[in-house]
Amino acid sequence: MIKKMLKNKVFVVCFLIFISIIVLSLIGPWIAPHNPLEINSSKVLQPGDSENILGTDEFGRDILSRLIIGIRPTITVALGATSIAFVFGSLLGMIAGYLRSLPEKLIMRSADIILSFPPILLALLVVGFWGGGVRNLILIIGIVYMPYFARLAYSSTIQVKGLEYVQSEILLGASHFRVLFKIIFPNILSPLIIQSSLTMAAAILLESGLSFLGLGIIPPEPSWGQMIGEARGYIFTYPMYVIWPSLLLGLTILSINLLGDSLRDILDPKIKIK
Amino acid sequence: MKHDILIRIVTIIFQVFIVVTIVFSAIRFMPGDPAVLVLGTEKGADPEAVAEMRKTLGLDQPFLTQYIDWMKGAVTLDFGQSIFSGIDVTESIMERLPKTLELAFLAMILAIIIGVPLGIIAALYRGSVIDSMVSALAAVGISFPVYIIGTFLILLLSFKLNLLPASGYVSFSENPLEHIQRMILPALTIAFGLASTIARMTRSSMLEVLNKDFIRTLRAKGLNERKIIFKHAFRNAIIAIITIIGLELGNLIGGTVLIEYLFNYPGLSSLLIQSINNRDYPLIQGSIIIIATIYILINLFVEIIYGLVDPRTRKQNR
Repeated sequence: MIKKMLKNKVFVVCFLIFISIIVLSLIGPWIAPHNPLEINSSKVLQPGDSENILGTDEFGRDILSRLIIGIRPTITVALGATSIAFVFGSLLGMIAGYLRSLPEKLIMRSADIILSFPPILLALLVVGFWGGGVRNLILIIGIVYMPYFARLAYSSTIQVKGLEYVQSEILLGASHFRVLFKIIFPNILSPLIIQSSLTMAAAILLESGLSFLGLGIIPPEPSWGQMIGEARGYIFTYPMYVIWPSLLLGLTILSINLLGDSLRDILDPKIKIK
Repeated sequence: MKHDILIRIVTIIFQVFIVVTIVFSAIRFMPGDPAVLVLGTEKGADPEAVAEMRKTLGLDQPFLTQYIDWMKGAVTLDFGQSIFSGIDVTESIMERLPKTLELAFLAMILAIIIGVPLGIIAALYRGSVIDSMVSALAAVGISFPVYIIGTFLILLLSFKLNLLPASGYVSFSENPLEHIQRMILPALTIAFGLASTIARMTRSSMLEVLNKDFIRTLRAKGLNERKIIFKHAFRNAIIAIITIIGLELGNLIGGTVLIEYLFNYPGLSSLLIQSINNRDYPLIQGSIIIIATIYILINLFVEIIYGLVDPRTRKQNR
């Protein structure tokens, strides 16, 4: 498996980018050249020089430092929301697929209801009332993407449960817990992992979108989406201000998406045969 | 088939009903009192004035009474009046909705015109430079958020080349030419991402069909290549393409939020954001219900079309 991963160049490159983004989000405060919140009214919207390499924003804050610090909330929300969606979504989906009957109906119909809202609208509604911030964003984005994991885990569980060796394990009297977590879960893990990387990209997309609207990460704490939203007003006076966070955000999501695609190639043998 | 559709329609009505109920109750349990907001900070501090205002707005009634009253109106598409402007909610939605739909459909048509041919070309010249270029462009279009693509298009088309106005809206009756000019940029922005998804789907389903035995038979019997591609291969690939278009159309209705904000476009989504900021309960309820209903209906529509185009799915539904 690891050999296969190392052979896939797209995977290696995207994985390295992903790891470096996470490392940057951890060590950001130590390597940022300036305080990202420090206001300097004498130096507003200046292009890059030796002191502020990428220039300054409308409050004279250092853009490079804000870009570095801005990774953390985005990554925290993406990882947190994906974990919530993965853990609870898969668990509920597995229970629905394993027990069938009433729990199945309850769980899957609730998933349908969440899915009948466009994701950004649901998030917008909740964030609009309860306010943004990292914690609220993790919760709501986690809930929005839970049904996708639930559906995936549900259909895979039904498939795996019908297999002979799982049936024999059940007949031998294995406990529900053992059947669910020791036997079914390892067998349905690959599609869930692929879904996780796609969800991560979608979560970043959603978080940055809300921050762009001014409803996500609360200022003055920087985040990329929010920087793009602020820079929008100065697009004609200082275009580089909007271009930097846009490029970084776009490339981050692109690399996570490609990571998901290459993971699918590696983990899903069915596609290889085609 | 007819029976299936009937069951779906009943389910849909039930689904809309649940969505409506959830939205209605969720809004009332959320923080922020609209009565205080209507009165403003000064008067809002006076508890008597707030109680008076709550009474005029009908917020002092028990939850169930409010719900039943509102439901009675909603059945006849009467969502009450905005508590800020006093304008009929249905009226403001009807003023905004066509603008959002116009934008969404224009974008969709552009995306199909761009995406489908690119996908077919990429599939026909598999592994060539054109193929890799289409794939790379599609990867960017799928990953980059719409507002980033929009920003880049503004920078390129209205800042650098000075071709199009960057934002705003002019109604068609006022000035047809300017109306179209101002629609192009937002529509093109949405279309870029959509076209990427469509091109990708077209490419992969064309490749799948082109590898099938019947295509080889057609080639062997000497049918000309153009006929094979358009009459036989594309016709089989179109099911997957229609599905993806339908799914994306649903997302489009919600996804216009960011585009309307970026381009200052007065559509339904911007009405919703504005009403959330104002805690304008009737307006929020009305717009969310309309948007969610359209979303659900589009999904139903896709399923029905799917059944019509591909007879194999009909039996699976049973």
